[in-house]
This record gives sequence, C-alpha cells and structure tokens, in this order.
Amino acid sequence: MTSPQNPPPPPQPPRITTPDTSRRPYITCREVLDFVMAYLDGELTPEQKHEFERHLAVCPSCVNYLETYKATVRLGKQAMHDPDEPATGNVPEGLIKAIREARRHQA
Amino acid sequence: MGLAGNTLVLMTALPSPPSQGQDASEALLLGRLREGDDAAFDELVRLAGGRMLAVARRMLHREEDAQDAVQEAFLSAFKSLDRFDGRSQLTTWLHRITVNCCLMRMRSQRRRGGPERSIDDLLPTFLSDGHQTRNTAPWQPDAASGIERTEVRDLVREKIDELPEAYRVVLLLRDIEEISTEETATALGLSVNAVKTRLHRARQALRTLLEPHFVARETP
Repeated sequence: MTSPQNPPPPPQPPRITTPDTSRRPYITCREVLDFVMAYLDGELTPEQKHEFERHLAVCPSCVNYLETYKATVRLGKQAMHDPDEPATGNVPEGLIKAIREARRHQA
Repeated sequence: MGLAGNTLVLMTALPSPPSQGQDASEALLLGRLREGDDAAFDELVRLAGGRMLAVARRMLHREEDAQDAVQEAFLSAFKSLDRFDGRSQLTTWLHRITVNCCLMRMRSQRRRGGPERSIDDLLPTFLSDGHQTRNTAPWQPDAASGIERTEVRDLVREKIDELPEAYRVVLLLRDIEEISTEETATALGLSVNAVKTRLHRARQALRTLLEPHFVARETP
C-alpha cells in the first residue's frame, strides 16, 4: 500500500501572515471513491470539490481510479450503442405481422 | 437480488421525457393513427420498431423475449394513443414504453444461471485508515489498444451481464438508455438517492470487471 492519505506537504517558504492550511488532513481515498460520481456530476459543494481535488493532487492512485471510472462509463455506452448495429434496423416481417394481428384482436 | 419496487408504474404515467417537439410528418402520422388507419399502424411499426427492438435486445437476452416485449410495447402504445400529449417525440414516448415492457418482463423472469455474484465482491476495498487496499493502475490510453473493437464491445457486454441484476438494470436505464434519475426511480420503485447509489456501485463493479483487460502493461 503506497497510496498517500496524508502525504507530507511540499516544502513551502515561511509566510508569517498567511494561515497555515497545509497541515489540514486530507480526505481519504475511500471518501474520494465514494464521491466520484457526485464529483463528475458537479454535485459537490465548492468546499467539497476543493477537498476532493486537493486529494487528487497528491494521490495518483485516485487519479487513475477517476480516469478509469470515466473510461468504464464511456466503454459501456460504446458497447451498447455499436454503430455497426444500426438502431433503426429492419423489423422482422414476422414481428410486424404478429403486431398487426394482435392489434386486430385488441380492437 | 431481484428488481426493487412492488409496483411498476406505466410509462404513460411517468413525467414526460425531454421535449424535442413533433415534426410535421409525425403529427400527420399521429392523426392517421388516431383515426384508426391500418396502414399508419404498419408505418409506425416499421418506423420505430427497429429502434425499439434494439432497446429490448439490450435489456433482455433472448431474441424471442425482445420481440415479445416490442409487441407488448406497441399494443400498449396503441391503447394509449389518446393519452400521448405530443410534448415529446412519438419515438421517445415509444422508447419509454419499450423500456417499461422490458422491465416488466425482467421482473417476471428469474435470472438464468446460478446465484448472482455479490456486488460487494466487485467494489473497491480499503484499509482501516481509508487508503485503497491496492493502488489503481492506469489503463491503456485508448482502453482498447491491441484488441479489436468488436472484441471490446463483446467483452464489455459480457461484463455488464455479469453485474447483479438490481445494478445492471440501473446502469442500463441511466447510462445506456439515458433515462433520467427521477424516471428510473419511479419505474423501479426506488428513491432518487437509491438510484444514484446503485448507479455508482454498478459503474464501480463494471470497472472492477474490466480492469484486468485494460490495465496498462508495465514497460520493460
């Protein structure tokens, strides 16, 4: 396990007048993965989005997870909407006939 | 795990799908349908049947079931023509009815094969401190290099079919049929939050199933 949860902050020049936020704990990988969909759907508050991205900035594993999550959604759509299988393909004549007959019985 | 919800609401009672307006030829066809013109019914079947069959084939596995669902959808639509308010396209309305007929058919069928895999086995795992149990590796840049496109398609379909049914159906409705969260919730008798949770877990589970096939090979 090498995924950083609270990696050491990068060295910063001392700023006496700026509040030190670099020690604030990072959200965990679990929280990031739980909120991937909400992040992609733009449903996080600005503060949540900031914390989410602050974690991503130091966690390549969660960046990979986010990218592969997006790839999964894209692959699913592509697989089920294959252009080689036209959505408006021919309707089997037998089905047209069955629908016609069923409609007459329905009437 | 079966589909949730005890009552399946007829699509005609669901909120209207996003309006794209009716074109003139569709309005003419609708007029002929409402007058009971036999040729117009055949025309509608030929016009919309292919798309409806594609939807049914995505949701149901057997061709016979898919064709039966499309037939049911047309008969349901014919009975409800007076209730079609024209705020959406006729084909969009038929799409929703087809999805509903497929859902009813899915609910009445037991999933073929053995017991389903637990969704928990397909979700990411964490250590007690919240770290991922193992690091996530990147996938190939195009997520498919070295594999024929049709192979990728078949692989992804196979993995979608491996999802537990309650999750597969939400993924199909939301990601594939692009039905809104609210409509999906109504159709399945779930809360909006439950639909969101199931969709997220379904995507995570599908990601887990696809990972071994797409993870980038380490360069020597």
